[in-house]
Order: sequence, then C-alpha cells, then structure tokens
Amino acid sequence: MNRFTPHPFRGPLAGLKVLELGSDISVAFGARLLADLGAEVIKVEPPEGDPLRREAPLTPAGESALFAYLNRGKALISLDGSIEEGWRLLDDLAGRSDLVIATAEAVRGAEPDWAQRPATLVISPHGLSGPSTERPSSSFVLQHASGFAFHQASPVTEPEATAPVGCADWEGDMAGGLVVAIAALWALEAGEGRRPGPLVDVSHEDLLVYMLVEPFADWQAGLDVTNRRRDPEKGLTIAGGLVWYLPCADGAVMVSPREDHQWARWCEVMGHPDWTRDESLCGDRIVRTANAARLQALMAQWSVTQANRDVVEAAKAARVACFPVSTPHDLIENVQLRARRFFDEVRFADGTVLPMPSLPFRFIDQGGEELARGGEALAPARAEDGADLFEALLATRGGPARHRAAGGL
Amino acid sequence: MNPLSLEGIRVVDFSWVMAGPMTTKMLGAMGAEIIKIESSTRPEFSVRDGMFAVINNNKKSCTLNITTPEGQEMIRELVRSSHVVVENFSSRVLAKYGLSYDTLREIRPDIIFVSASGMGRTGPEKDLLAYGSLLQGYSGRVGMIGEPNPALEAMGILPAWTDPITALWETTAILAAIRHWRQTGRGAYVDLSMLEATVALLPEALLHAALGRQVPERRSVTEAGAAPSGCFRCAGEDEWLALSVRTPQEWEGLRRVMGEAAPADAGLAGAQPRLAAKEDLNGRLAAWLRTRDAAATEAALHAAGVPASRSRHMAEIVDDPHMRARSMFQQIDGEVQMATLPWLADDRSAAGGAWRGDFAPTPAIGQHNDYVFGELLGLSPERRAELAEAGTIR
Repeated sequence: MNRFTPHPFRGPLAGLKVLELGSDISVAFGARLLADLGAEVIKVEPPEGDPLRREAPLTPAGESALFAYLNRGKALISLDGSIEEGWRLLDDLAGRSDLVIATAEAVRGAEPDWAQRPATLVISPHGLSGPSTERPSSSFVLQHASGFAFHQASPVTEPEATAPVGCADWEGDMAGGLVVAIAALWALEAGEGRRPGPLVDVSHEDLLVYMLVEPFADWQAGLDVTNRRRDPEKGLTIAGGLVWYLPCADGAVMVSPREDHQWARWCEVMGHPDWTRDESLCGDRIVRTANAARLQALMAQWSVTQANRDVVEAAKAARVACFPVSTPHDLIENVQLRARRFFDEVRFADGTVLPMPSLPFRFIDQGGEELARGGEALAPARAEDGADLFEALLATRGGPARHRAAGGL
Repeated sequence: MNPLSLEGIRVVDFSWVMAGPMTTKMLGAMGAEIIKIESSTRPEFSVRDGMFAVINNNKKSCTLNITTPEGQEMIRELVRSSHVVVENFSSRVLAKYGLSYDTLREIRPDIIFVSASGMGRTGPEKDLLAYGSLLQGYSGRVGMIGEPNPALEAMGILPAWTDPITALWETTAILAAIRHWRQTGRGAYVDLSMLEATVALLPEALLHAALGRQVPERRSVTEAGAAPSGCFRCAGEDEWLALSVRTPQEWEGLRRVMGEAAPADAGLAGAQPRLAAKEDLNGRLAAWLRTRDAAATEAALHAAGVPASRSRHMAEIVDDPHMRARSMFQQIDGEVQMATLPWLADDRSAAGGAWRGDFAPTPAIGQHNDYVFGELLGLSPERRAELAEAGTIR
C-alpha cells in the first residue's frame, strides 16, 4: 500500500489491544466482538489447547466449528500460566494491553495483583464476591439459578407437568459475551488508562437475571411471580398483543393481526372474510383475546392444509405480520439475511467452508466506509501456530532463553 | 476511575417498547444524558404501566409532536447539540418527518445514528411489520425450546428475548461508535437488525445445519455432554431441581448424596458409559428426586461439588442474600426499583466499595420540557407556551 492509498476501515476499535485468558464461551465471544469491531485480540491458550477446541460440531478433519465462530480474527498463542515464568510472561503481555478479559479460573493465584495490568474483566458463574460465589454450577444449571428457566415456562396450564425450560442453543453464554463486550468498553473509558485499571466482576447469573425484564416488572408491581399456573380468565395475550402459532403442512407460522383492519385482511387471506361479521367470535381485539384458543383451533384447520411459505407470502401481501418458525437450515438460506451479507464464509485448513453470522449490524463511518460483512475469513489456526507471533511480542523483552522457559510454546 | 464515562454525551432517544429504552437506560447509567422524545397522545408514553417504569430510568422526558414542521425543526435543533440518535421508527416515518440519517447528518456531520429495526434497513424484507415475539419464531429459537402448543406455553416466547438481546447489541455498537468518535472525531451510522441479533446467538444449530447434521441434544432441557442432566420434579408444589454431572468427581459427589439409591455400576464413572446410559440415569434420578426436598438436596449436592440449582423465581432472586450483597437490585426513593448494570466494578470511592451504575427514577411524561425546550433550545417561556397551545409541545 502506498501513501496515496487510503487505509481500509478496520473498525471503530482499531488500535485497541485486548488480552484474553481462559476457556469460556462468554469470554471468547465478547473478545471476538471487540475483534470484529477492529481491536487486536491476543487469546492465550494452555499448552494442550482451549477445551472448546473439542466442542461440537467438528469439521471432517476434527476442527471445532464452534471454536472457530468464537475465535476467528484473533491472534492465538499458547502459554503455560501455571508455572512462574509463564505467569510472568502473562503479566508482561497484560502490561502491553489496554484490556484483559479473563475467566476467574485463569487469574486465580494472581496475587499479588499485577501492577501494570489495564482494566480487567473477570467472568465467573456467580461472581467474585457475595456469600454464594462457590456454588458448583454449569451453563444449564445457571438458567435455573437465575430464574430464566422458571419464567420461560410461565404461565402454563399445567405447571406440575411442564418443567421449567432454559434458553436455546448457547444463548445464555452468548448473551454473556455481549455483556462482556459492553463492560469491557465501559471499563476502558472508566479506567482512563490508569494502572492497575478497574477490576470488573461479571457474573453469568447476574446477567441472566438482568435479562428478565417482565418478571421483574411484575414483581415490582406486586403481582404473584411465584405461581406459574395460567389464569384461564386472562386469555392468551402475548407480549403486548395477540400472537398465534399455527401449524402448517410443512412446519409452522406465527401471526399477529392485532388491529381490526389487520384482522379483516387476515380473514381474507384465510378465505373467511365472513368471520369478521361474527361479532361474538372476533368483533374486536378484546373479543379476539377472550376467544384466542377457539380462534386458534379454527385457523389451524385452515393452516394445516397450507405450506408455511404460502401462508407467509399471502400474509405479507395483505400487510399482516406473519413469519415462519425457521429451521436452522431455513436461516442459512434466508433471502433477507443473504441480501444483507449477514453470513461470512469461514474456511478451515481441511477445505471445509461454513457460513457463520457476522455482527448483526452494518456499521458505516461518516465518510461512508462500511465495516466488512459477508466476506471470506479463515478459521483460527492451531494454538502452536502462534509461536512466531509470540517471538515478535517478546522480542523487546527477554529473548530465546525466556521463550524456552515459558514451556507450552 | 471515572465510572460515569459517558458524561458529556447527549443522546436523542426516539425509541419505544423495549430494546431502545433498555439501551438508553444502560447508557444513562454510565453518565450519558438521555433526552427521551415522547408524545402524550401515544398510550405507550402516557400510560407508563408494566415494564415502562423499570426500563426508562436515567432519562429526561420531553413531549413533542414530530409530525409538525415546528416539531421537526426543534428536533433538528436538538440534534445540533447532541452526539447520538437512537430510533426504531418504520422506514416510512423516518423519511416522512425528515429524521433520517441523511437529513440529520447535514445538521451534525459527526452524529452517531443508531437504527434498530426488525429486519434491518436494507434487503427485500426491510419494510415488513415485525414484533419481537414473531422474530423469536423467525429467528428459529422458538423451534428449539419446549414443545409446540397452541397456547404458546414454555416455547421461548415469554419473557422477551429478542428485545433485551437487541439492547445489548445496540449498546455495544454505540459504545464502540463513541470511542471511535472520541478518537477520530468521526460519527457513524449503525443499521441493526433484530432478526440478525437473535440468530447470531444460535451458533450450535446453524453450524450443525451447515455441516448437514442435527443438534444431538437440546440445551434448553439438558446439558449436552453431561449425564445425568436435566430439570427434575421434587417434593412440594411446583418444586424443580436442575442438575448436571460432567466429570467423574461430580459423579462421585452425586453418588454420595444419593446413598443407597445411587447406581452401583462402577463402569459409570467414565463419561462415555454415562452418556450412553443418560436416559436411564435421568429416569432413576427423577424417581429419586420426586419425593426429596429440593432445598435440602440442593445444599447436599453443592456440598458434594455437584452443579445443581432449584429452578428459582424472581421473588426469591430479589430476596437472595447473594444478590443483595452484590447490589444486583438498587433502591431509588426507598423502594426496590430496578436491576442495576449486569456487572460490578471495584470502586473504593463508592459506597460499599463497588459500582453498578448510577440510576435516577423514571421521569414523568414531559417532566423535562422546560429543560429541553428552554435551557437546551433556548426558547422563551412565551414561545414555549405558544408551541404548547399549537400542539407542537404536547
């Protein structure tokens, strides 16, 4: 690149240096988001590699696709932090970084505190302080400890037969990654560059509790949040308006014709414009709420004979809010996601190429330069491939003797 | 440390419902000044019930009719002295009232303009009417939680997920943009899609599908790779205990707590044999727990090093001494008002040595009209009275 060629836009966090320590989905995802936004992230793995390198699904050559999703765009190095020299090297790397993001386990034994460490986030299941920090926990168990599972199965008709249910996929841990990114950006500014920087305690349990807005609002309003049993008098009002789940010949749709004019158009879509004349069945929104179960049964008689794509297209044409319940395969093919270049194509050493979500927003600098989305990217290298980078990092520090002493390299 | 790191940043907040208000509440807790643009003719703003009070702290409320030319001119004037605009209008409203990024950047070139919409502002589905609940279906998460049922029970529709998640993405983007602005003086346009915000958190399902495979176990009901693992019914009304065994040590811990009811087979110490027998092990655990006291069993399992928790509800969480010690909920005006920021920072200058955000009560509608229209825009009391009379300030 010559001096007349402008530098490409590397993102709003260009120049930020982040050090990542420990094996945890929230830590890895949070640091990856910072990397996507332009930060330089160095992830330190133990000599045997991050255990998440073995997490499913694996490519035909045995590389973890999940690990790639969490760690692409980072520099990876391998270092044994459990021995003294390794620990001193970590201290050195921390001193050169603007931010450290770590699991509690990775920094256990870090006393005395690193004098030169920057703003530091420490992520743990229940936090670093409080009377119950040591509860044995797991990703699944935290869904229940935090109340998310209980409230995600409330209200229900038969509480005794309906177990509390957690979030889908890795959602809880991934949401933790978002909180990590936010807390990191706050700590960076709040710390004002001082060393040692602020120590930030991020608890998986706290952040799941934080997400429970409606249950907290109900508790605050004095409602009984301990009883999951549905009150049959209350109809089926979901999240501010009527939402119906309709099975189709090939899957299902969710539809929400809330206003009277939307309902009238929806009845036409279903081939039942006559329904709108039946005041006692569906006269207005209040009547429809009271009759929600009966209307669902009537609508389902029609929808089970229809392909879900046809229902969605007809509803779209009638300007009624209606979407399919997507399968993961549907999402990969989804026209809207494709048109917005939401998926990057990530290539592995064995030639496997997999679509992976990029950031869920377009970020355009005021000069019109857009943060890249939908391009090709390489899956992260194996940890041992970081040796050259490590040499470069240490070039100013100690030389080859220390390098060998670091073990794990 | 300066915890109010956004002090000096002014945000014009047009957002409503949940995602935008949660975003700006969080920015306010970090010191930003949030000017919430409301209208007394919209029930969302005038009724202020349900969750409104717990997601609209830290804001200054003004009431303005943005459909009038005078109202639009006042917005443009406000944007001149602001740094961030947050909105979730439809594309049509943005253009119609002259509030689009292209219009506002003419007034303030370095504005950070953040737009959150169901599908994003580009693409063939950009103008589709979408609600958070429907997006939870469209994103695929509804198909991964519970069993489909016409009453929409325990299917991942309530409590809201897409909205709070969108708020976290939106806050991330804004903080990154503010750092960019502080370092380079340049603004930015952010076009956030709520659909994408939800899909990006489902990597296991997407990556399995891309490799032509099925996800072997649904994480909503069990810990994949752990056995036994699940949520089990205990004695007492609606008492449930979640439990996961991942390691030989946890297995031994569970066996100790189960005592004579524990499976005797020594081969089950290994992960593979336990996973192969997961269904059977879960069945035996379910039978054992059905008559056990949940709290006592939970305590015994913790003492034995086994990950376990009763399925707790919000009333219990608010009362939890652990949550209290961590200042998870903060009192404003003598009542527990809201959850604080989802992180805790050591701060020797703060009460209790920890900082979790600064919070002010949710404002009454129009409470800050004089500040916004008088102090910020410099309009005289007479002019403000005229505008109120004309229905522009309302």
